[in-house]
Amino acid sequence: MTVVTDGAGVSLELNGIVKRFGDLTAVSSFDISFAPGQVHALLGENGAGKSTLMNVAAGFLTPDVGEIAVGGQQVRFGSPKDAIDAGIGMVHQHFSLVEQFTVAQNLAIGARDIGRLTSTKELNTRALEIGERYGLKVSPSKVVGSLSVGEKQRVEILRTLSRGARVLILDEPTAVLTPEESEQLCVNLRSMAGAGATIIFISHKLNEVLSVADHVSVMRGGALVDSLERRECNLQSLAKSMFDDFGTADERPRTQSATSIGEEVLVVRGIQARDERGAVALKGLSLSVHAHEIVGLVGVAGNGQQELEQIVAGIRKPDSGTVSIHGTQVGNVQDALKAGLGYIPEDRRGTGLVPAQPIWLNSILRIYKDDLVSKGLIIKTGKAKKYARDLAESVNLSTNDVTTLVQHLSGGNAQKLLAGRELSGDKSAVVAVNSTQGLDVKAAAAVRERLIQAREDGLAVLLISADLDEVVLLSDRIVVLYEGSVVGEFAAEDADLDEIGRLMGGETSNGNS
Amino acid sequence: MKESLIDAVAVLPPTPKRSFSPWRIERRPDPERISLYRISAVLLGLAVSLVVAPFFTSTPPAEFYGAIWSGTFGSPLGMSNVLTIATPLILAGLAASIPYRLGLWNVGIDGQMLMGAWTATAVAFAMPQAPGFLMIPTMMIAGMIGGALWIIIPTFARLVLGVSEVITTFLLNFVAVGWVAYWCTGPWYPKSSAGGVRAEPIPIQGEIGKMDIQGIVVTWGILISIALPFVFWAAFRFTRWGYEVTMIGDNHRAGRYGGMNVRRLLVTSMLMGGLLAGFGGTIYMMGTSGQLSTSLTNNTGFNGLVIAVLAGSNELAVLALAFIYSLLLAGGGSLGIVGVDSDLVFAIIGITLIFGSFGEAYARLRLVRTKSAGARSDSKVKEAPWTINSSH
Ligand SMILES: Nc1ncnc2c1ncn2[C@@H]1O[C@H](COP(=O)(O)OP(=O)(O)OP(=O)(O)O)[C@@H](O)[C@H]1O
Ligand SMILES: [Mg+2]
Repeated sequence: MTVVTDGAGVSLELNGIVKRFGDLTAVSSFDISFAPGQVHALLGENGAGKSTLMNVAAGFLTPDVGEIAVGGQQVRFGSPKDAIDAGIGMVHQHFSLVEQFTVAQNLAIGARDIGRLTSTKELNTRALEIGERYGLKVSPSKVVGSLSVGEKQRVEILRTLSRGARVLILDEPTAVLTPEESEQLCVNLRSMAGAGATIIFISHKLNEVLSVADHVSVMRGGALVDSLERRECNLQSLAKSMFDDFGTADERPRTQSATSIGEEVLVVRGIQARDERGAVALKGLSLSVHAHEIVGLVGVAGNGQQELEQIVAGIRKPDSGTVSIHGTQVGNVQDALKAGLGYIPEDRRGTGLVPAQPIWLNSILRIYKDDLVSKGLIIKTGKAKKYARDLAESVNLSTNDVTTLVQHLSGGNAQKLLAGRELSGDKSAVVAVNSTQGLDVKAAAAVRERLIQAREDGLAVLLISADLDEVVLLSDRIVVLYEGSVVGEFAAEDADLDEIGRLMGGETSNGNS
Repeated sequence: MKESLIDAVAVLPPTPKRSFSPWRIERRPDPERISLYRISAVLLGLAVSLVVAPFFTSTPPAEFYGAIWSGTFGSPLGMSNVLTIATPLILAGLAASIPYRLGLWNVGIDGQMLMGAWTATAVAFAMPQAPGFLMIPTMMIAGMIGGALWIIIPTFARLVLGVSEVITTFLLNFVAVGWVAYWCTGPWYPKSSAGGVRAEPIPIQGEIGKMDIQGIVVTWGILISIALPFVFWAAFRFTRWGYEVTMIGDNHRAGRYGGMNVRRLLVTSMLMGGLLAGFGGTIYMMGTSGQLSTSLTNNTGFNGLVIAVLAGSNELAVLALAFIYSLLLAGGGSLGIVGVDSDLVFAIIGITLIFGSFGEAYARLRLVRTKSAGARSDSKVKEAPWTINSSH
């Protein structure tokens, strides 16, 4: 067996890269290098240019100016394939796996070491081998669509590695993971780096960055503002260099509700439902959220959250059971909208937004029939654009040009738009799923602030999140979901994280009835 | 686990060598103005094929171009012909384009045109004594309804049973031809037959009037045909219906999330397609042929589909492309007079359309010259330090 010594991997250098989009300079000419055997974290506020820079490094975008060097040698990428041939692979936040295929089949896509006709068994063996080789466990014969987000991500990483990536770029890999999955990922990244791989890690979670990175670089407005060794930075200094106006206020939201809890607003009664494959997903679930209350729903992804959020929003029909808001039954999206339900879906690009359309058309997606922006059958485009501009301003969007296509927004800015849209206007209840995913510290704080404001305003807020810390921070009440049923309920004050963790994992608790 | 990982990294597959040609195709990060590219490409294709075409015939170039010129812009008769062809063609383009926005293929436009014309004829024969101001609007409405009815079965087969509308709309074309043939040879057999499968002409007061603009004679149907693309263009921008189609066309899940009734919208746009096709067939019969026949549409529906796809969800591009297409058909028609084989005309049309689709490719992709750095990089990366570890 061979041992990989330090420096055996390849370094990646990006020199003087400039990438413009129209008038906007997303990345403006600086030098940065990523050393093998290290986890190099890339930080920066939403829209700082992190994804753009890495898309250039991985061949998804071509730079206007600048040079890329791998292992000290100049390269030029015309496509992601060129980049992977040179050993650079990127895992995007939005996976590119084929949901209907098995893990083994997905790992075989684009692989060069297999023939045209390879049996399923061979593919499975190959997948197992790959998994073993890189120390990431997968089940080859499982269909990708049925995997949890963390598992999908593992497959995606494996696919990238098995195609020969020695520089692995991960764009906000932990944004959608549970804390446990994130921890596991960090352990894996550390051992890959230990074996000589070059890891580039984009994240907005500073704690995580401090625990996993060897080196931290901070971008702001397309420029590199800091590049430090791990020991040279701490939470405070990182936040300072990310934002020019940081420190004006402590961004921790008030967790105590000023007003006492009101009457029941959002009531879910005895919901039975199936998932796409016909398996039972919700087993007679009941839940109620009161005015002036934030209820946090926690659970491992895939325990019925998706079905529940969609049923409450009127997008999916339950087999039995009812949802009502202020006593009005919700049977479809129209009902939910009329009852004043704001809904931040988990699936930002697939459900919440139409990426190929401009900001202003997306801003009115859920109010386009309101008198505010339409008159009879006519859309008042002037009013709609004004509405969009106000919305963009209120959420601090990176641009105030509302004709910008949503797909041209950075991931965080798209999320700001979505969350802002669903939290503004005349609402009585809100279902917020991973509402701060992909947001930088400040923007996340702003969304939390708005959720708390919603509670103050008398809304009923149902918070569904993979981020247990966030749920504990915001909620008045925490409900644990396991295999389609509520298995535990805690008042915020006496929430016991270990206990919650156990319940989420399916263990029955002692003190729970 | 750590051990296996280390082992693993050491046995990474070597980077395969790849030879770079000096040119490569890249995907544009942001394809824009696709329909502009397409129309320019169509014009370029037209120019190229017109320059090359005379080499493939014995007709002298002067005569060749002269025939095309006088068959189109060069004479009032030519221009009349162009506009006459364009009248139903624009409508056929819209009939395909509107369902296409939602990802639906209306491949049955010819059939819907025929059925529209059939329904209009039936109505006319049912009220032979009615005055024109009554008969004309009644026939037009009947034609629209007939066309729309002909697309109902494919629409619901798609929605309820999931049967592809491509197949059903296409097959119904043949049923429509058979149906019309039956009426032309049976109940509506003309009193004085002039060959072909034609029905008795419609009552004279049911014909649409013609305008004469400095010798260019064309029915006022052309005004409707030219106006409609603008109407739809505006509808897509300023109405709720247009908003819904735009959003659902891109992301139907987001449409549902926005409270839209996706199914209803699919139905209305399909019916709209059938209605426009039926109207196109009717207006052509009422203004130009004056009688129902199996060859009434002369492939207009199919040509409309091609136009819609090239125009890519842009109604004004449909108008422009339909006009160019009509020029080709009219100019090509007059080539026959000077003895040019009609196959050559089809070749010209084909080449022009191929250019059009290249235009699309060009809008999405670009050709870049890779510097020698490309080749260099490849050979160097192969020798990346990594390989030193694969010695066991
Ligand atoms: N294809 C594009 N067209 C136009 N502008 C773009 C495009 N892609 C990115 N931008 C702009 O470039 C800037 C940088 O975006 P980028 O996605 O790199 O940000 P980011 O640092 O990854 O932010 P986030 O943390 O929100 O993901 C943003 O202002 C964004 O709007
Ligand atoms: Mg990003």
